[in-house]
Amino acid sequence: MTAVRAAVTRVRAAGRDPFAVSIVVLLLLAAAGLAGIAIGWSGAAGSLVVSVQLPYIVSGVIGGVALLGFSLGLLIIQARRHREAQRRAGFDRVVLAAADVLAAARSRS
Amino acid sequence: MSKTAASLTSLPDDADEALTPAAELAGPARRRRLDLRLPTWLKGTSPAPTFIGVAVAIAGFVLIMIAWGQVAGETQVYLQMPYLVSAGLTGLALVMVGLTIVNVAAKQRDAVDRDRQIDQLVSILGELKATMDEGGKGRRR
Repeated sequence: MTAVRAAVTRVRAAGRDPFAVSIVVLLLLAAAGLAGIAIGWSGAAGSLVVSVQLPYIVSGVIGGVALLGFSLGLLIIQARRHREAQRRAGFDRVVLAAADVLAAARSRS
Repeated sequence: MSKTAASLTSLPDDADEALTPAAELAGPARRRRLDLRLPTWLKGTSPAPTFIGVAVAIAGFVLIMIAWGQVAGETQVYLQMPYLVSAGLTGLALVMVGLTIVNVAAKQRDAVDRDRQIDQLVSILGELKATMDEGGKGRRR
């Protein structure tokens, strides 16, 4: 029971983090793209007539590849921006430390 | 207000104002010259390029939907092919172009933020140098 409660708390905390939410949404979109490709393949494989196969290829395969590429691309961008934000937060600490040194130097002179 | 906060607010936003010779060598000054030629909505701090990229990608998805509708409405392959190429593949290309625009816009925004931080640090160090110089002169007297 406590383990379930801890898991629910963890999920709620992740739900409040916009980065985690965006990663989950983008992974769901990537999964939808893969599902589209699979549906396109099964539809195209289910017919011997090319004119019947083509709509499956257009909607399933091309749409799936577009969705997969878009979501994975956004995922990479989001992960890089997150890393960059962490780096900026570290640099902000350096700037604050330098400002502290400046304030100390000003108070001495 | 703490001493640190006072030091930060008293500093110029830009390193160019504090250290002109140093800034002439650095990238931000050059970038500002380029920014002058760009409209405001295209500058690094604007979110407009990101929205434009997403809009282009959505247009790509709409084109793919149109291609699917047209291809599904035809029974002859030679009639389906033009829709596949003009709308389907163009839609795919538009999605990739949109993604590239979003990528470039995100990199540009990060670069602007990084430049701002470096400008701030350079300003603080310039002020510190000036303060130490003044202190040294006062002690010599």
